[in-house]
Amino acid sequence: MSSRLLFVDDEDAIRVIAAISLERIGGWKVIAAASGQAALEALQDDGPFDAVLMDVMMPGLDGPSTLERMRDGVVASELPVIFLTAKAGDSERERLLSFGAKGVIAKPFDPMTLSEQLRQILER
Amino acid sequence: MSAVEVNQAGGSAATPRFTSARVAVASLAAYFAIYLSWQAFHWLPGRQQLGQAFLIPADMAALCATWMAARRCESALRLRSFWRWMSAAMATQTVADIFLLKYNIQYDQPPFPTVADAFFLAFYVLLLGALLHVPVAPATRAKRVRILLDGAIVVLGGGAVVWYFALGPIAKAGGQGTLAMAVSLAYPVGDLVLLAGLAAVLLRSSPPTLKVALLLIAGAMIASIAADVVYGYGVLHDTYKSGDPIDTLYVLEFLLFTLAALSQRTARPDDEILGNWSQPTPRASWMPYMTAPIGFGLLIGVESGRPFFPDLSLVLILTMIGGLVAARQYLALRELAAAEAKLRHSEGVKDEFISVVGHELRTPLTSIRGSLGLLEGGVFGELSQEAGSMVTLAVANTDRLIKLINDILDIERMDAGRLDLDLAPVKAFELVGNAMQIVQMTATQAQVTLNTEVSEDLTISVDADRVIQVLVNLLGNALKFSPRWSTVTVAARPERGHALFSIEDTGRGIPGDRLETIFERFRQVDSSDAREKGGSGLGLAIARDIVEQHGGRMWAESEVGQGSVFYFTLALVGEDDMDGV
Repeated sequence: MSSRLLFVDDEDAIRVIAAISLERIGGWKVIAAASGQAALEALQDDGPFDAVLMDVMMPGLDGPSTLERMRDGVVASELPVIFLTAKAGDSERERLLSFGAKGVIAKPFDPMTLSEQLRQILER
Repeated sequence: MSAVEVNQAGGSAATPRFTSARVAVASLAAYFAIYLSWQAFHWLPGRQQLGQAFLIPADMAALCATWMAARRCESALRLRSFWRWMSAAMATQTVADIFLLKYNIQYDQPPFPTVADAFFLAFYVLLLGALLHVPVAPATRAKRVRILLDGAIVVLGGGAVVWYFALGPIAKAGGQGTLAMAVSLAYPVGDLVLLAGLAAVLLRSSPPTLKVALLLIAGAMIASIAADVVYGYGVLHDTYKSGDPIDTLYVLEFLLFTLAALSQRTARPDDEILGNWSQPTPRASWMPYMTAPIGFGLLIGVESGRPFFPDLSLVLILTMIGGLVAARQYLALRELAAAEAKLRHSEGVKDEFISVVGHELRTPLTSIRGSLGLLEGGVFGELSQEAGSMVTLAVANTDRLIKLINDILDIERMDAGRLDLDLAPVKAFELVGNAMQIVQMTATQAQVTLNTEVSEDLTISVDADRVIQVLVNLLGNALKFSPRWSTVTVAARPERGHALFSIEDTGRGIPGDRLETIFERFRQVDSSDAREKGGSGLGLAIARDIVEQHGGRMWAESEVGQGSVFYFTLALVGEDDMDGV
């Protein structure tokens, strides 16, 4: 059975592209959520997951706040979380890692190598 | 009031409790009051010896207070060394005054010069050393010139006064032996040098934590200059005796030094970080303008033959002109400060704007690049050759747009000074190896051979990611302009205390008049290069910025038709940085 990934991004187009890329090239089973709130619900209802790939800047509950709530809960307190960010920069990367993320992937990403990047981060 | 009590009060102020500092200040005030009353009524006999003895507790209070201040700055190294120099200066003064007390007990008319004078003069050297250790903000060239001019006015004004009142008369008097003359001249000269040092410190912006201390030190030095002029003159004419009223200024000087040291609160390391300092204020701008009328007012007095009752109307007019100029200058500087603050604010708004725009552009680009990438990668089946080449074209240009946005954001970060370098010792060949790996694919496509000549043991202290970015930028350029089957060589070797990197290609070369402009933003050798060769026109500007932020230099040499060599230098690792390697 393929690994299950929760993909969280408020942009419809990016959810579609990432899901295709991750499923067809990386062989993941992708569940997509359109907001931090939806992600928390999906973790409760559609689990278990093997990893979460999540956008940072989202209206409402943003990436880091969602991660914080996940860590406080029972279901996803240990789950590896990787952030996707359009605000790449050394200080931004460090800020995100300080929330307890396992890695950071910069936007725009190359859909052909996204799965490979994700795999490398998860194997660290 | 004993010396011990003053010292203990000064010492216990090291604890952050407010009350002990208060006790210390009250003790100093009480000591000064007792001294003044003794000067007025001489209620104890032994004027010469006791007068000299009165100086020593003040010296020792200053010694203890500055030493404690240095202890409170354990975590702020530059502040600590400033207070240590101060402390050393106070120690020499204490020793000098103890020697002078000994001579005053031994002789009714102590000899001059003595070993005491050697210590007194060492005090100036150490105090100047302290002033040179005050952390000051780096200034732009224009500001440095302004500070130099202001300092020159202060020194010239002060120098004129010292010359007419002390040096001139001392030199004229003569007949005292060369050494005695030289030593008595050394006092006012030492004061002048200190005045210059103080002006240089006060006219630049220094850490807020030292603000009160520096003002008190300035007060102490004004007392010192006044006292030294009289002392130097008196000692040469055998009219000075320890315990004379002029000593009051010396006591005041060292009590002010003590207060200055007491005003130093426990320093944190970030007290020294320039960014945390308040911007320079025009507060010291009156100094040069008021020195002129004060100095020349006194000169009028000397020339009129009535030093203390000169032609008052002339002096008054001079002072008024000086005051008005100072006020005018103050207003101008305040306007400038307001304009600078406004500029900083709008720069902040611009930064925010660019950062948001960068983010907003990247979001749709992620979708465009993503869908094109899936098409190009054949995820939805093979494309016809024509369709495939169209998609490849679209991908390449999307990547170019993304690179442009990234470069603009990089430039923006560097302009805003927000590029934090994470310096660590690293082997040069590792950096070069990393950069080669990144551009290997491009090199293979361009059918260009990459060659390296890097000294194995070359270790530099740099932000590795940023230097790799520099190397990739330069290598990318070299590859773009290299003909097929040619070689691009990356070399790094130690040269005059630096690591010298070079990237050499055999491309078409750069005309001599373009060797500098290529490092400007959006400048390419040929304006059609942007279309043909891709690239944002920012790569070299970014590379040079990164190298310069490391304290290095970047330049290019070239011969048209033969190729180009890009050089840059980076700091070699010092001995004490080697632990991490």
